Amino acid sequence: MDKTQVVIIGGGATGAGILWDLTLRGVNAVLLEKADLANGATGRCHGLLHSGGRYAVKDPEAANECIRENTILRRIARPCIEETGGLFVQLPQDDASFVTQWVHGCSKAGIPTECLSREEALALEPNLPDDIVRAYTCPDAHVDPFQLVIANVEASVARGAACITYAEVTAIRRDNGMVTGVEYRNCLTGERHSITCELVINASGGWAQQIASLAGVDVPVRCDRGALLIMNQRLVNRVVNRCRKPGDADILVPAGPVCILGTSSVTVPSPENLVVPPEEVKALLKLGAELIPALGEARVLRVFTGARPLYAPKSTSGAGGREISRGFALLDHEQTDRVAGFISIVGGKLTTYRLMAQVTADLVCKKLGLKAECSTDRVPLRCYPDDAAFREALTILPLAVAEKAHRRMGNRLADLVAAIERDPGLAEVVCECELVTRGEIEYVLKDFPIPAQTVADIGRRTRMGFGTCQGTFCGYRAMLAGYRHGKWSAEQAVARLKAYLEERWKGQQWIPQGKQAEQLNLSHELLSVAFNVENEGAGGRHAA
Amino acid sequence: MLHKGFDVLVIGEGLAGVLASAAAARQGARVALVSKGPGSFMLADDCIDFAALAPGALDSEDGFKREIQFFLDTAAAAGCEYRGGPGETISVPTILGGFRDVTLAPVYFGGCDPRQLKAVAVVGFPSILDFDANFVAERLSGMARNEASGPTYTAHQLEIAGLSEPPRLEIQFAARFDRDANFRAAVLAALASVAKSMDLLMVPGVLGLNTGTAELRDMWRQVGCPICEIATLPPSVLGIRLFRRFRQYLSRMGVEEFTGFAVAKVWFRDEHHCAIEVETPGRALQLEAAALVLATGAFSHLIDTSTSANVPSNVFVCGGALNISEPRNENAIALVTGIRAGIRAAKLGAGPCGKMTGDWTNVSTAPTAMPLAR
Repeated sequence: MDKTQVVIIGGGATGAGILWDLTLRGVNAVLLEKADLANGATGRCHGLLHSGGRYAVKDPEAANECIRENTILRRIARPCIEETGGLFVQLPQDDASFVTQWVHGCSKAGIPTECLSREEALALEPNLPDDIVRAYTCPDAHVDPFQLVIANVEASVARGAACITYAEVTAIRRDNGMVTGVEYRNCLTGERHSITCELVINASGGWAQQIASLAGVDVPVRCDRGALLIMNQRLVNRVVNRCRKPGDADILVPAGPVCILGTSSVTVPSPENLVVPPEEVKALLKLGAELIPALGEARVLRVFTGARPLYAPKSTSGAGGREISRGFALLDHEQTDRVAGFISIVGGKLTTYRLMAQVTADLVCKKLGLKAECSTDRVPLRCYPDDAAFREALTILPLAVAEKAHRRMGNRLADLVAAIERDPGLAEVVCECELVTRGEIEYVLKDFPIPAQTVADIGRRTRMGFGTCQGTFCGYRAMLAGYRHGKWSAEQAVARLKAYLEERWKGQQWIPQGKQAEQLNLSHELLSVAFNVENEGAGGRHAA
Repeated sequence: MLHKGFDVLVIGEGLAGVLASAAAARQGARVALVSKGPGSFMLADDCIDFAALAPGALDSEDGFKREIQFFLDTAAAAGCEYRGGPGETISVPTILGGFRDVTLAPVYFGGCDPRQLKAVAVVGFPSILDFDANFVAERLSGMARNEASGPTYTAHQLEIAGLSEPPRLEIQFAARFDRDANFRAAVLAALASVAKSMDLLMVPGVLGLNTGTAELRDMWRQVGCPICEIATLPPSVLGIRLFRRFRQYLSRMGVEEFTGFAVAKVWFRDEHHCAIEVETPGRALQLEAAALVLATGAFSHLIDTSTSANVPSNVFVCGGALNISEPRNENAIALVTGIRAGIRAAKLGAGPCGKMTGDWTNVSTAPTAMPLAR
C-alpha cells in the first residue's frame, strides 16, 4: 500500500493548484482524478481570465480577488495565457446608470480601465455594432485551462509529487473519526488500490457532494450548467463583454484560431450527462448577435457544456444560479462535522484557482504543524526554453508550428527538436488547425509526466482537434501513434478512437442547422465510410 | 455573352450527376455537365449499399435490377468493373481492420471474400504513415479468432528498393506509380516478393490514379495473386480513380463538361426551354437546353425543392438534392434517381426544341419548387 501525507481528489484547476502549492511547501501529495485532467468545469468553460470587471458592480470582493489573481497569473503562467485584453461595451439599449456604477466599481476594486469613444472602439474591434455608445478597456485575457492545469501538475511531478489519472476514489477510510486513507479504482483496467495518508482534500468541483458522502459528510453543491458555442473564426481579438448586469451570451472570448460565445445558466441535478437543447443554442446566438452582429452569420463549430459547481448552503437554496456567490468556501470538516483530516474546497472560479489553493494549503500546513509560506505567486509554472532551442526548432519547423510547440512544451522543446532530428517524419503536422506535429503527439503518449491514456487526452495535452475542423483525421493518426508505441493493442486503439469520435459528434449534434451542419454531415459520412465504426461492432450483415 | 445549346443540362458531378449524364448521353441526347467540382462519392471508397435503402423509399418493380445493370455496364465501359448485385453482400476491408458490408464494390477490392481464403498478407509501405499493416492484420486476426474461421493474416512492411525520397502521401504515391515506370516496377516486384503462397494481398489504395480493371488484372498476374486495395482517409485514391474514369467515359460519349464553375442563374421560358448562366471568370457563359437535371447534392441549394407547387415539368431532381438520403444509402439513391432523371430528361430533350433562342435575360422566372424524379 502506498503512503503519502495528503491525497487531493479532483484534477481540475483547484486540485492541480493545491498539488503545486503543497509541493512547493515541501508537503508530499498525491492527486487522484477519475477521468483526465481538466475533465470537469475547468475544461468546459470560456477560458476567460477575468479582470474582475464582470463582478465590479455586484461583488466587489470577487472583483478585487480577480484583478489580483489576474495580475499574478499573467506573470507565473505566461505560456498558458494569451494577453488579449478585454472590452466592456455599452450598447444604446443598455442602462447608463449601470455603466456609471461599473466604472466606479472597477476603480474601487483596482481594475485599470480606460474609456474609448465609439470610433476608437470600432477601430480596435471592427465587428462591434456601429451604434455602440462607448467601450472600456480592461485586462481580461484568454487562458488555456488545459495547459494551465497540466502546467501545474507537470511542475509538481517534476518536484516529486504524484498524479494518477483515471483513478476513481471509491472509499475514504476512517478510524475513530479520523481520515486514514483512500481506496481507488483504475477506471481503465478495473484494478483496485489504496493510499494511506494524513489528510484528504476534496477538490472535486461538481462531484464534491458525492465525494464528501464517502466521508459521511454533506457538502451542498449546486450544479449550474452553462452552454458555450465555439465559432469558426476569431471574430474579435479581445475578450468582448457587455457592460450591463451579467446575463446569458454576453461574453465572447478569442481562443486560438476560434472564439467562444457564452454562456447560459441552468440548474441541473448532476455534473454528468449534460444536454443542451437546440432552443438554448439559438437563444445564445440571438443574444450574442446583439453584441457582435457577425455572430448571426458565423458558423458554430461545436457546442459544449459544463456545470459550475456553486457552493449552496441552505440559506441560499432558493436563489438562482447567478445569485449564488461565485466566491469559494473552504470547509474544515473537523470543525463542522467532526471528521478530522477531511477538507473540502468548493465554489470559486478558474481565475481564482491559485488563491483557493493557497488558502487550502495554509489550512493543510496548520493541520500538519508546518510553517511553510506560499510561493505560488512567485515561482513560474512553466519556463520558456532558452533562445537556442527555439532557434534550432525554427530550422526544422515552420515558424507558426515552432511557436505553438514553444508555448505548449516550454523547456521540453529541445527534446522535440532532438526527436525530429533523429526521425524527420515526426515533423509532420498531424493536426493542421492547431499545428500539432507527430513528434508532439508521440511525446505526450510516451515521455510526458502524466501520459495520455485516450485519444481525447492527447487533445487536452496538445490542443489536437481543438481548432476549426474540430477533429477530422487527427484522431485516427493519434490512435495509430498510440498503437505503434505499444500503448494500446489494436482492439484497445479502435475502442479509444470510437470513444473519441462519439464525443466529438456529440458536441456537433447540437448545432442547429445551416452550412456547418451540412459540412459536419459530410465529414461524418466520409468518416463512417472510412472507419465504419458505427456498424462493425455488430459484426455486420456477414456475421448475421 | 457566349451561348451554347444542348438537349439536357446536368448540374452537379457527384454519382447522381455522372450517371444522369451517362444515361442521357446513352439515349442520344446532347448533354452539358456543369459542376463546381466532384461530389462526395468521389472522396470515399466507391462502394454502394442497397441494403440500407428502406423498402418503399424509392419506387421499384424489380428491385432496381435495371438501374443496377445500367450502372454495372457504365462502370465496366468506363474501365472499372464492379462486383455484386441486388441482394448480394460484399465485405470490403477498412483501414481500421474491420469489414464494411455493401451491395456493389469495384474490383479494386480484390474480387473475392477474404474470409473464404487461407493466407492473406497485409502489406504497408513505411512512408505511408496513415496505413498501418500491423494494426490492420492484428485486428483482422482477432476477428478471425473470434469467429473461429477465416485466413491467417500476416503483416509486411515493404521498403521500395532504390528509393531516396519515398512519397509520404497516398496521392503522391499513386501519381508516381502512374508516372515513373521504375517506381512502378519496384513496387510490383516488392509485392511479388510477398505474394508467394498467399491467396490475397491487402495494400493501402495507392496503386495509381488512372488504374482500370485491365491494368489491375495485369498487376495481379505480375504479382502472382489478387490484390485488395483498402480505401485510405478521404480523399482516397480509389475515389479519385473512379471519378477520372467516369469523366473520361463521359467525354467519349460526347458529354461536354463545364467544371470548376458555379451556376449563377437559372431561367425557365416554358416546359421545353431552360437556361443557366455559369459563373466563369472571363466571358459570361449561357447554356440552354430543353431539360435540366438537378444533381447538386445535399450541400448546395440552387433551387428551393421543398414544395412541389408550380413546378416546371422539365426539371428532374436526383441524388442528395432530393433530401431523402439517410446515412449509408445516399449512393444507392444517387444511383437509381440519377439514372432515372437522365433518361427522363433525354426523352423530353428529344422533343421539338433544342433550338437556340438567344437572349434570355428578360424571362427570369425562377421557380420555387421542382418535381421529384423518383
